Amino acid sequence: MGRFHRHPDGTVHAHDHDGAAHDHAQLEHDVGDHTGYESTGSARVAVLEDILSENDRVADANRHDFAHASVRTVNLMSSPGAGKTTLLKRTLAVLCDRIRIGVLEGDIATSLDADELGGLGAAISLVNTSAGFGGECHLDAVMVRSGLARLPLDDLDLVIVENVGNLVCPAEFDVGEHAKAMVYAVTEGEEKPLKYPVMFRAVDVVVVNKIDLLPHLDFELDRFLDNLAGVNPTATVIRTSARTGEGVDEWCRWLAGVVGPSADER
Amino acid sequence: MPRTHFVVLVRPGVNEGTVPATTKAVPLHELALCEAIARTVLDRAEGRRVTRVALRIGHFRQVVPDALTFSWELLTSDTDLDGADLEVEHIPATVACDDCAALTRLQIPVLVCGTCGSHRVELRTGDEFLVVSFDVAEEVGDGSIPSSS
Repeated sequence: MGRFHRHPDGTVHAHDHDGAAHDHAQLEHDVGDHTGYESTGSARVAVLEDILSENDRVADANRHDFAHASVRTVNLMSSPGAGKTTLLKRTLAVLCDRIRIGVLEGDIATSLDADELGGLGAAISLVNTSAGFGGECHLDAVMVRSGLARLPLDDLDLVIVENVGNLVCPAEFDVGEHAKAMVYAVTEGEEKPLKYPVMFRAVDVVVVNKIDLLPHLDFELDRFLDNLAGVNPTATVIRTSARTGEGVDEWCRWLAGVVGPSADER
Repeated sequence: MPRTHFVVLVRPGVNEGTVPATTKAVPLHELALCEAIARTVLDRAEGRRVTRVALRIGHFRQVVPDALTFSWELLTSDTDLDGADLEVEHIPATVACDDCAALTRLQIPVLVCGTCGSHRVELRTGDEFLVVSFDVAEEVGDGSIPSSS
């Protein structure tokens, strides 16, 4: 009788197994039907690939398209309500006369944010994420790719991907961006860098927003900055109030820096 | 792989009774990860029945094991992966110090050397996020297996 199995390297073969060499019962093999072929359990297939490798391959394709069109891309993330859209409105008002900007707007099901950003001089592409199973909470590389098809990449200098409001999922998914930025509202408390380290470690810049509210809050900015430095010592910190406009210029200079040194002189 | 176009997750005590069952989907990080895992495995399974999937996940990835298992069962039921166990190997987070060369195991994600207190440390483990392998059931007694008897 043949003893058929497959090795992890994919080779398949059968061992001789005449039944007289040992007693099945003694080997505790006496479970199941041994009259036909003996089950040899299972074969292991080695993978050793990152869980998100498929996403990363599409992200590479996006990166290639950005490079081809000479566009730089920033992935902008935050929790819901931290002020991404308000900050973006201010940003477009400052930058659109010297940098050609496209915004890829991720939204679970509505066009509310995209509508707000319309008419400010940027090309807007809306990606509703509700069609994906489990993809409601972030933009992945595939969704961004579909949204890019609706942006005139060749006529842009900068694409800002406004991700879905969420502190967990967006940080995991590379979309092909050149820099990751997050908006963090002082109303969110000091401990979040320790609770959401993947996001805080991934970003190049943290925009600490709503600082006009500081006098009304117990929020200790220094403690937040200590926690942030513990998780991500190299992150740039920019303090803003998207409501009053404070700090928006510094944020816009940072964005212009992503596009390149020449962007400021255009 | 069959795709469910819409899913409503009612989490006891979280949104139970507050979510109109037909209008709102609950975002779940682990569900997206499970979808990626399933795709990775199915691409390589070549139609064989998968019995077990082994993952290696670092301490600093924000993955809740129970949520991962729950999502996996939800996602794979009635698919080719139905019944495949998900096995997660947890990898502790360690940093190596640039200043004193000590290795420190970290619980919270503040990157600091436990020996000299330096912040000049390098993350050695804890960032893993791998599909390591999967097991497929052997075909048994289907007549196509070579036999010497």
